[in-house]
Amino acid sequence: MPDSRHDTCALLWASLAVASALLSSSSLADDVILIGGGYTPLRSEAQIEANVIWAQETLRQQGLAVETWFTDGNASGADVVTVEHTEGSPTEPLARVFGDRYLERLRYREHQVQNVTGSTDADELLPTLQTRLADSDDDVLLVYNGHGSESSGQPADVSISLWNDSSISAREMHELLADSDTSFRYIFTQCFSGGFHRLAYEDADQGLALSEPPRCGFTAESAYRLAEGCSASLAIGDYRDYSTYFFAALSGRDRAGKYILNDPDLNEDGIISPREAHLFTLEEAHSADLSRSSSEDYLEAWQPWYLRWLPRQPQLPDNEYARLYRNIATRLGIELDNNTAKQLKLDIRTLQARLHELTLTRTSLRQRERELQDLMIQSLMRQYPALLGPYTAGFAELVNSGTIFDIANSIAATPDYTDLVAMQSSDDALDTQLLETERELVQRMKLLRMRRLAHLVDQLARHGSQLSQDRYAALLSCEERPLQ
Amino acid sequence: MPRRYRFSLFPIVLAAFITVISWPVFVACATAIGYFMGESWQLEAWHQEPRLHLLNYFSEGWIASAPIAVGIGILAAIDWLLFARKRLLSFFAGVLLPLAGASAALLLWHDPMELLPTLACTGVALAIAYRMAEFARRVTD
Repeated sequence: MPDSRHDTCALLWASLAVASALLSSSSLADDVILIGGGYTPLRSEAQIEANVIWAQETLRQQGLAVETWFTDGNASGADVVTVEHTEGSPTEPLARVFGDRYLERLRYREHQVQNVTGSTDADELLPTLQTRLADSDDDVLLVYNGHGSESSGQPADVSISLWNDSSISAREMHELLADSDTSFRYIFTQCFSGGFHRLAYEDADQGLALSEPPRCGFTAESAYRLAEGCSASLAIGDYRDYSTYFFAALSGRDRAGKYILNDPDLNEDGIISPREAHLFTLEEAHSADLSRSSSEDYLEAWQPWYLRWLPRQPQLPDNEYARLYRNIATRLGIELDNNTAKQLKLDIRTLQARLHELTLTRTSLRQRERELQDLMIQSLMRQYPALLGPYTAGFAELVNSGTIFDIANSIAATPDYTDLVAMQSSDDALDTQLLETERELVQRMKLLRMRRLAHLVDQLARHGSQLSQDRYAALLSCEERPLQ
Repeated sequence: MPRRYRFSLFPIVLAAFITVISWPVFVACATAIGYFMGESWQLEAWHQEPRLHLLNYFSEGWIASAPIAVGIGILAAIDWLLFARKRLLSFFAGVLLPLAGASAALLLWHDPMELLPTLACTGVALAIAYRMAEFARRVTD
């Protein structure tokens, strides 16, 4: 039975994808600017590359013209880092003892993204973006997949981290868009990406007056939180960032190629709009991201002082966020009644305490790990002082004579090494537990956020001025417009 | 300062006191009710937004609510003039504050139950603060 259901779903999705492509090809195309990659080879994880390739394919399948900017562009030199999961290299015992266990597993290579226009170095990208945005007659969609930095001041000072340690802040992008006459939409998946929602407003710093022409978009996180996807686990399915779900909704398949089972097409018009993809992401993502759209950002900023502090009514109004709340709660097995919100807060406190406990355990474990490493290093130094300087002639001699492998073998034979490996395995297990606990915690935070948004939509309808309601409707309309 | 001046200045001091504390008391009541109901935005935001933002929202509300707070302060002064000075009526001193809160919710708000518990609680808390101020006046008199 499950197989036949899966086949039916697959058939439905294939039909939908074809219909979507046909509809798309008959309209004017959005210009897509896809920017991706890290800011140095060490922070240019292959998972970002995988997401960029996937986003590129998905958007092209939608009939869109995609211009891709990735790390160093077409320059030669390693610009992507992968993590090898295989253990047991001849030098592994040394790497474990000298604290280079993570670096030992890293491998660097050229990126494999096709049709790259240029480098994301801000010096190269910024002028090109300026020209592209000023000259474009079509709507522009900007998709960013990479890292981001937080701001100690205004949300508009958050930035995307680009190649060669350069960056572009939301404020700079806001200035770039000042000369543009076309509609602009964005998808930012990096940490602290929420600050880029200020692009939707006329003023980068304050106020609720919207930009003209309209701008809207989606971010993986608020301006104050890290996003998931910063981990370097590279096996497909291990990492789940905003684009993992967003592009799955657009393409009808997940990143591993499996058809998605839940239909993101809420209005059943046969086309998945960016907003539908976002709502799908909110519902389906079991990740550590608290994603948001520009219209949601607007709702939160709009709430007037006399409503902001009031306790909400336990009864939820009837809207799409209430539906999402109920669906997510059901998926998580959370009972829905008048005490649910209270219970969610208790759960959050419990999970936060668990996170704290895990962090303390890890800190103490790492402390013991370091003490053991120091003891082992001291013992090794007495026998092989050349190990002290890994870039010296004495060290090179150890390597050339093959002594380094004998040292590694002798380390591996000690009981201390067995203890160290056990500690480091526990450390890895703790990392996994921390990530899982964080995901569980964020799911509950998301439920509370869905409740809040459900009430905010209702409050805007009841208490908002006509102007406020028109602005919200304009953002919704911008988010709902299909990619074409 | 002569006793009669202190006595006639007291309603002004009381009005100013109630004006200043109205918003913090409103926020405290809303937070307490929200805590017990599990429906407070501020407790959710505590872990998700910079604390400075909460402080900004609080200050924004304090400034924006000032005209209403002045009205509440004047009401407290009127209440004191009506009730607190007379031995028999002093039992009711402060009663206008919760009554005004409940009336505002019932008469002015689209959905009274959204506001009634918070405004009634704020009124009661302000009445308690008023009675304490009056007690302090009597002790120091």
